[in-house]
Amino acid sequence: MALQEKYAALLAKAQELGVESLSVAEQDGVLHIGGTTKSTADYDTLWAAYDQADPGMNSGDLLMNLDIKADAGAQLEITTDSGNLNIRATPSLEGDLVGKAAHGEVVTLVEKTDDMWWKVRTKDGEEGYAYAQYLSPL
Amino acid sequence: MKKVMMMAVAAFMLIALSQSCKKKMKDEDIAKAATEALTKAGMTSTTVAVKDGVATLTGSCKDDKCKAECEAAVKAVAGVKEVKNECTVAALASLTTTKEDPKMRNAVSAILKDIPGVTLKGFSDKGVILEGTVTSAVNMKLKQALGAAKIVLDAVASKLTVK
Repeated sequence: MALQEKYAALLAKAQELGVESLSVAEQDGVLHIGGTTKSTADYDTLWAAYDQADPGMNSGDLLMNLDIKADAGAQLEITTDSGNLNIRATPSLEGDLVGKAAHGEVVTLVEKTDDMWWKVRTKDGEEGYAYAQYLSPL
Repeated sequence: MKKVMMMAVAAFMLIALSQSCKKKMKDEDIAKAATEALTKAGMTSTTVAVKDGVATLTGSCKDDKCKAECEAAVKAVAGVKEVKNECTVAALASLTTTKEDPKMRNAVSAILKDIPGVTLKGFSDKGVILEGTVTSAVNMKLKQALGAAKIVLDAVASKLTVK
């Protein structure tokens, strides 16, 4: 209960933004928040609320696993810091490189393979797995 | 005569019972006070058990200084005769990996590949142990990636500084 109080503003914001399949559960001293936000902006807002409630986000008492709503066929922008994003044959760092997508380029979502890797297709038709952290649904 | 004996035995048992109860209550009270003292000092990953006035500390501390502070906080509690400090220091805790599996290590490696200045120190039963200094933007990226991979940070053992 104490953790839900600590993160009350964040939880209220998640309700307000209409996060889909919002789940809130406390386990072993860690609050788990999950759900799908309607946009990348909502996702960023909620993460900023987390940083505000726990500056630095170093307390290890919240596990926030948010997804941004994107169905197959959605357009994804490559949001690396500056470099290219690797596209691999299998969803792992060991996967062979099948292509690259430049910073700012837009690719198409084929499938959300798991929380970390999404299958995408570039405008040149290269298809493979990219690290989801750098893919922002438009 | 027999009746008197029985009464004496009953009285004796009653006294013995009430004394043992009293003693048990006392240990419980000491443990409660010691736990409060630890919480007040911000040591929430340490637990204390009291038996016959001897307090045993278990759990993890981030360093030796923290371990000594835990001990001092409990020693100051009224009724504590002796403190047995069995706390582990983070460096030791990271050796006793319980939650680690190759998939998790791979996930952390994939995350840290793009996070300069942060190194993986190991895994504890609480989560991943990371060390380093990051900007707030990089810290945000790191925490979002950990969240997506459902990995909890071991806050006690980790040394992450946000610039």
